[in-house]
Amino acid sequence: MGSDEAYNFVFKVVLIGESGVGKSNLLSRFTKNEFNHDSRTTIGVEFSTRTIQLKSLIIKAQIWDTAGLERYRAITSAYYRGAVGALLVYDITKHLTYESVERWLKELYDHADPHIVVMLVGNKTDLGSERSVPTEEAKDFAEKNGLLFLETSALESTNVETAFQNVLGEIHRKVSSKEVTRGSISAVSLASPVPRVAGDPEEKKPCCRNL
Amino acid sequence: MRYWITVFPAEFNLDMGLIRLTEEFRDVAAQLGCEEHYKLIDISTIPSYDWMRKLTQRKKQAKKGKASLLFDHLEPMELAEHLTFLEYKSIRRISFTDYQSYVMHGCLVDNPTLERSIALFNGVSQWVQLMVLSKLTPQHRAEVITKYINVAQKLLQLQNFNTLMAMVGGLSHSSISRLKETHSHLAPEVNKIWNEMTELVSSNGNYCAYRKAFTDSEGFKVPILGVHLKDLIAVHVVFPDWVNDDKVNIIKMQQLYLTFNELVSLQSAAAQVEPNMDLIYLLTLSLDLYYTEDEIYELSLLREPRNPNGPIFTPSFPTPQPTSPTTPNKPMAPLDWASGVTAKPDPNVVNKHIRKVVDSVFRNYDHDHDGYISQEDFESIAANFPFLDSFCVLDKDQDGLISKDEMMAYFLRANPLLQCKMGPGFIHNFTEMTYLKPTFCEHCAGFLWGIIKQGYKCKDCGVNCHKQCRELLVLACRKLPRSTSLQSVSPGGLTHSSLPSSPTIVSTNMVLVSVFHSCHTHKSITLITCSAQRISVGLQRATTSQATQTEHLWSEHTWGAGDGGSHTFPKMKYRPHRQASMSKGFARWENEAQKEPRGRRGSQEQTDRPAEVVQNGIIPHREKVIAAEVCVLSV
Repeated sequence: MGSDEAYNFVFKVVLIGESGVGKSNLLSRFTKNEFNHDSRTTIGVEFSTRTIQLKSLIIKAQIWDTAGLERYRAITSAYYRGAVGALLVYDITKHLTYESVERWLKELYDHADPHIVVMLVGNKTDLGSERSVPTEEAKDFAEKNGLLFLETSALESTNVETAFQNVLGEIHRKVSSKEVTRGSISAVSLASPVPRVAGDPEEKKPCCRNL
Repeated sequence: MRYWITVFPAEFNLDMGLIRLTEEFRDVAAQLGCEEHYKLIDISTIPSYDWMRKLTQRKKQAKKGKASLLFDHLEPMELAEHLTFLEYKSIRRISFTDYQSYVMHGCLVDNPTLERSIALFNGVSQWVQLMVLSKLTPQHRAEVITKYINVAQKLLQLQNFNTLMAMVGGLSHSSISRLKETHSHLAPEVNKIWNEMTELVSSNGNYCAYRKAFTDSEGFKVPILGVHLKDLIAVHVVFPDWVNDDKVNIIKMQQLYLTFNELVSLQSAAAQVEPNMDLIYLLTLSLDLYYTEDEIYELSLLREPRNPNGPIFTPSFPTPQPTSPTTPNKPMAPLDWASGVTAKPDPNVVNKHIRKVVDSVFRNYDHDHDGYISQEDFESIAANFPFLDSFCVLDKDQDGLISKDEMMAYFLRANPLLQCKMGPGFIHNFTEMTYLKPTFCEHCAGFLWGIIKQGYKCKDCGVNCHKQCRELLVLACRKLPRSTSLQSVSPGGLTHSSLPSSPTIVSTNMVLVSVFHSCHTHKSITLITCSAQRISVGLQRATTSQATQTEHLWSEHTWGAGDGGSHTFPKMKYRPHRQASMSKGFARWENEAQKEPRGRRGSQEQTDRPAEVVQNGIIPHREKVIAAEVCVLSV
């Protein structure tokens, strides 16, 4: 994983959605300059972090991609733990991927923090001619469910940057405005001696079910 | 090229595209007259690798001792070995082309072997959760968890990381991890092992702990397939295929090679386990039980309610099987999540498994070999299948013993039920119905009692049943091509319209079954009468409202178009046929020679033929026989 530079926050963001909607493409587009491809198998292909500047703060985004694992229930549910943001991606040309959005949302709220910032992302706007999910419909859905919304094209790099920036900005807003009670969303500030990832999976965190 | 063919013959046998390409190439070589080259790229002689994709590669059954099949008695090592055997069997069937297809499509397209492997993985996770949750007290649950943690440890010893991941995933699932009380009963050293396990397979640092362990381990090992699939996808997405437009991207190929090599080398590794097939069958069946995550979570809430200070919901079930798949009064939500995950084997395979398990169970528990299992023995078996129904449900004839047939019947009944949640084709579209005619439940063959809203009818296939039997119905919903002509046809045209909702006609053996059924269970209806004619009246009433499908085997005879529900049940019994069928004002239609293919037959196709046939006074030979038998029965 990436750089040792100083940062103020680490946010864990998960990418979810049906397989084949282009989650990995979005991610690689966002982090394109920051992935490792060490041939040592102990590291594997890792391209999930990127540090961005948000106003005066440096935020390290750690983005978890479920690509290839969607079907492994035991693995994926572990992904959600500790996530403070999520990009729920569907393919604007495949209506089925949009229909499953609700299921993913439910899954997300089941396993992740209730205050998680979620953005609905309609990917593949480059294939506008084959569009089967109207922008307005998705937008309405997002509004009703309190989600952010954007349409992107990983291929043409449209809105990719904005999507991640918005999510991270919103997370930061929530964290700093103390809208959320302490501990509900955990972010690691520079002050802590050993920077930990927000929401370390090992931590026993309250989940939305309010145990 | 020759090297390629000799070293990776499987690819040349399994990948159609490659075969075609090679053959084209060979043809070109032949045209150019290069005899030697032609020989070199001949792939017609390479052995067939189709078996790799085929299902079981059978092993000789090991000499089986009287091993205990009880979950409680199974040693962790034994369980771990057998799980590994299953895992290995499933994973080695996945060929290079399956992996390739997965990465290229980014999802499962036409990839049954990989799908099966994933289903096994998820099956293990759920099985673990269910076994824990099947215990009523925190202590017992803690014991089961401890046992699984021990199994996980053994899996690590066997270097089966995939099943280990599935098991850890199951145990750390929120339905288990929320059980605070249960966890307080875990011994500290168990907790320590548990933490090591979770650490090992945690996704931190891109699974660095696991990757290290995996690289360090030698010999037989099973990787966490998901992690490597993720790698493949990542490499595929990040690196372009070509650099500078004309050069193959070597870095990408190198990366892909590394991962593929690991995965493919698995197939040549040898499993060290000598399996006890009885146990394998048992596990296979255990792992096939499918619940939704919601159901599991609800069970978890039931075991340890959210707010321990609040009123604790005490389960109203006397038995420890509150969510038994066949408990009628516990309707289950249809599976909506894993819509695409229909990685269930076809019913025949399941039935085969069940048969094997039942055989195994009897081999091991029928101590006096009389073909029956006593209640006492049953209780011990039930521990393996936490949600098995209670003894008396299985013991249908209530003689205090379960026969092989009874057990078979039970599993066969329970299993399609679970499957029905998997296949979209199975789910019925039930709506509450008020029947104007006496109607019988398709599931239990019981009468649908009451004056209004007696039962439920599937809008798609027309099957009827009790409210509580809805979830139990094992019949697949076969949507019927329903013509709407009757409704739309003008009164004058009625005589020659087709029969959209006419009584169904089925093959003879179905009729027979159904007749016996009715006779058995509804003496009140059928046994009052003593002539074949009247019996058939009863049958007709029972089934006309099925309105399912027509399968006209007999052409060119006319019958009454039913009596439009104007008759009440008691009247009908005494009403002579002719009169019933001639009810004034109702259309008659002619059964034109519209023979539908006979292929479609499921038991939901209800039977009316004898009734109709008798009614028309034309009793074909075979029908006579049935009618006669009915007669005999009723006398």
